[in-house]
Amino acid sequence: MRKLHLLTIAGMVLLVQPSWAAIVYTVQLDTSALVGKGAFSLDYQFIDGSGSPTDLNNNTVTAGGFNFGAGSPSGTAILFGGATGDLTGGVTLQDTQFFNEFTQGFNPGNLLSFNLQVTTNPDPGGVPDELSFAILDSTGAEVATTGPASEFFSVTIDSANPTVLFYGSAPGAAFDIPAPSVTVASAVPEPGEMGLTLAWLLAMFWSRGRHRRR
Amino acid sequence: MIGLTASAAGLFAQYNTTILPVPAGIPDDGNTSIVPATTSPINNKGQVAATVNRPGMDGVPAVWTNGVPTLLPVPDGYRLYALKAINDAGVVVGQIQAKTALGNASQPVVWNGTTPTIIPHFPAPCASNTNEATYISTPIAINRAGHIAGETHKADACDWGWIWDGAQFTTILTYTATCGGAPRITSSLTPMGINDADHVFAELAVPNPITGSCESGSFSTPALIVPGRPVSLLAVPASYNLTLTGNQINNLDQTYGVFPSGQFLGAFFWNGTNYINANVPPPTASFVAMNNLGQALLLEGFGGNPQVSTWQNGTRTPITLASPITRIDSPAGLNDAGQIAGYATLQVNGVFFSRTAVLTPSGGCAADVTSEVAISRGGFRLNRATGHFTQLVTVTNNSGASIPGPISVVFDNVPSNATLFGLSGATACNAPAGSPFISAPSDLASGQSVTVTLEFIDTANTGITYSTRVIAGAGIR
Repeated sequence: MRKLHLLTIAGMVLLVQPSWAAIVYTVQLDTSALVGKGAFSLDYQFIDGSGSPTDLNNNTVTAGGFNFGAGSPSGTAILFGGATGDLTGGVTLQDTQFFNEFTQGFNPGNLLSFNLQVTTNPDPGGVPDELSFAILDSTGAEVATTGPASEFFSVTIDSANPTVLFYGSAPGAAFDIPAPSVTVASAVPEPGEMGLTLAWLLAMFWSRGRHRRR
Repeated sequence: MIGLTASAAGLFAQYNTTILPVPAGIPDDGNTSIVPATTSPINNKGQVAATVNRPGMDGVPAVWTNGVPTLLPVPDGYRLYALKAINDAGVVVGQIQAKTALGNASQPVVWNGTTPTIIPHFPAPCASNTNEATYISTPIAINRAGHIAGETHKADACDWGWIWDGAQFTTILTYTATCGGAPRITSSLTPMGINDADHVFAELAVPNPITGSCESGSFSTPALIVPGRPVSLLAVPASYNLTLTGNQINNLDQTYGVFPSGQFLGAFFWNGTNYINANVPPPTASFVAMNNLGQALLLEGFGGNPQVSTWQNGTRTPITLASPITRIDSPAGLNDAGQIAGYATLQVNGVFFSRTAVLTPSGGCAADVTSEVAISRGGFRLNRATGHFTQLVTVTNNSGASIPGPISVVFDNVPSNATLFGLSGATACNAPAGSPFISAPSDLASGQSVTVTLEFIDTANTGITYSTRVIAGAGIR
């Protein structure tokens, strides 16, 4: 009986991981290489999977808690599509259309950090919504990274646990910036899965307790 | 998992030939000619736009789909002046003239299906000539999204280049030359083509670099115009010019032109960075068409029977014409599938005919292995530096055996607002035709994955949708 109980809990831990309604990430980037090197902009793009009506308006990204180190935001925000806000009060992007973008200037300090909350509803069309973040130089081009489109990181909403990829400066690029640290700060469970989530968390706690006792 | 680097399809050696038939109701004899549209007569689906001419008859525009003609009605009160191009959506652009017109007065017309829409003259004022009946508006080419580049001539020093987006003029193509270090003349500008990113190559009137004359129009040079950026003059010798044949720009920002070569003309190709002498022996040579792979169509030696060749990166592959074709001339087109449409002379029972011929690469079709693979797609990001949307697509071999290369990922039903950049070719053998693909030369072992970084041109920033196929092994795609 005890063996069955253990197997049940192990199954809960391994197989019935809950879905998150949203995930909050903490992003930190070393921008010291940009200090005193001119004007730059933060660029968030939130692109819908297809732009089709069945895929639109199902995800929202909010960015806030900006820390520019010794730097500061500058200028006014340039908004496209479902983008609102600014670097002082916070930024919101919704997939109201295919292409949604927020851009605003900043004076770089030694670091840049912010929180990012992303809802996690995969598009029914099969191509995921994707948030990506880049730094633009004074010409409007991305500071080059090894990312496919010179982004520093992307969050691809391909499941309730999105795929996060991050990149550093490209070899030989004008600015040497390491890949950002992108960590999960917290996760918001689906409303209907509170019980399952509680069981999952208890199982995790119990499992860790047994592991420590051994 | 391995990354996939696209490889361009090579030039073809063998072709099947189709002669476009004369539409019903028009006599099919030596007095009837079928002339391809002058800028881009063939689209990637193999549809051809051409004009049926006959003495005593106004030119009749038509589109041939799989060899079957559909007539394009000319608006009442007008006659066809010139037929220019057809895009991948089958939209045709031409130039019409009022039957009461003065001189060369004319204006653009667009056929969406069989419905014609007349494009107005560019509205800029011209104090020296307010008589609209004398204006000459010339469309040059149409891109995949339906954007048209052209120019409007109202009087001397009243010339404008423009882009029409299907509903309005969106871009005014202008250039102010400098003379003695200061802006001096506003040059006249002749657009020569438009690509899917709305980039335009044009001939600009500039100060004469030899005499130093600052008279407007005293000299011309080719230039690249990218909306929102300064005009970029091509780094070619002062005597080099674009030609008046074919759409003069592809999606790689490549073009071609001519230069003096003794008493003849030589051909040069602009590869996006430098010019390349086509290096064809005298007497003369000219590029007449180009596709989005950087492949071009070359005519060597005018008069007699000019040699037709395909050309890429300095290598030319002569084409052997099949009977009854005796020669092919300009106008001509070359699509991304390698199909050629050209103005052909035929000889049948001692009688010569002028027709449009379509040459389609021949050979066996490559195998469709879509059922043996899994395809997953990532999201999009707009690369501000290139202006292209990027997307990662991964193909995994789920079969128990290796799939022989080349591996070609085909993208069907891409909407007209989007264009795959850096393609390896377009399908001509595996239906549907005209779909772009990206290829890698290597085999794909069982369980192995390849990841493709796609780039799409999408100037409207609207949705990019498509379905996929995978075609592999030797053979035509």
